[in-house]
Amino acid sequence: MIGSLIGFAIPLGFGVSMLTCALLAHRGQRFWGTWTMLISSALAILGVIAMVALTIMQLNSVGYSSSESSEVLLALISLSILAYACGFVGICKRWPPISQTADDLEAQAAILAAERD
Amino acid sequence: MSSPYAALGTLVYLIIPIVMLVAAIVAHRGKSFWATWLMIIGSSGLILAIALMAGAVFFTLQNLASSGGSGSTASAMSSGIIFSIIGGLCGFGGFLAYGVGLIGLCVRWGPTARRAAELEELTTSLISERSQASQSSVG
Repeated sequence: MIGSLIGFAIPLGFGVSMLTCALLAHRGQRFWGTWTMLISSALAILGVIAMVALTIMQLNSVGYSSSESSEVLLALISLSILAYACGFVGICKRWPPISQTADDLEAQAAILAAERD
Repeated sequence: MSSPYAALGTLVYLIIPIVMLVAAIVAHRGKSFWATWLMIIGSSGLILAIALMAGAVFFTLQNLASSGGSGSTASAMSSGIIFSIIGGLCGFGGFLAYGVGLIGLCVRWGPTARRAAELEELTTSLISERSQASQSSVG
């Protein structure tokens, strides 16, 4: 039982790191991509926790079969990861103009500040 | 496939590396740094891993069919096992590399976006200050 629960530590850790990345991005600038990443990572973590609960129930009750529920949860986790990837595509699409704007404005602000002085 | 849910899960895991590669290329085209390189290498590794796994299944089935029961099953599966091991290593390495790149990009994304917003405000205020100063000097 402990061995099968340790097996869930890897996806759970992965989900937590996904959530950390989403929070880091969300703190910088909020838009649909960061919201998608936040919601989908939270859903993925909830899905893994539900899988753990299901495994504990399966191990405790003899003869209890929940393969259908496991597959539904697995599909939910998979779709969450896909949604996360789509949100990340949104961030990557916005990354070039943001970094370019930051560089351009930094140069422009330095010029304007020098002119003012 | 035992159920449509399992089929959906498998399909999604085939699509995700392609979406990851698209995201990495889009980020890399804008401003390339170590995280975007890691993301490109990681997603390429994952796609290569899927291709190797498919190759493993293909070679195993082909060898089993060509042996036709005369050869041993172990020899028929040997090339498939080698492909699987290389694919597994590629997948694991690619997954790790992409994860590190993802964290690196998200860590840099926050300060860059904030800096862009702050500098936009600063530039606007400096421009308005300059226009006010030029108006007062004309007056």
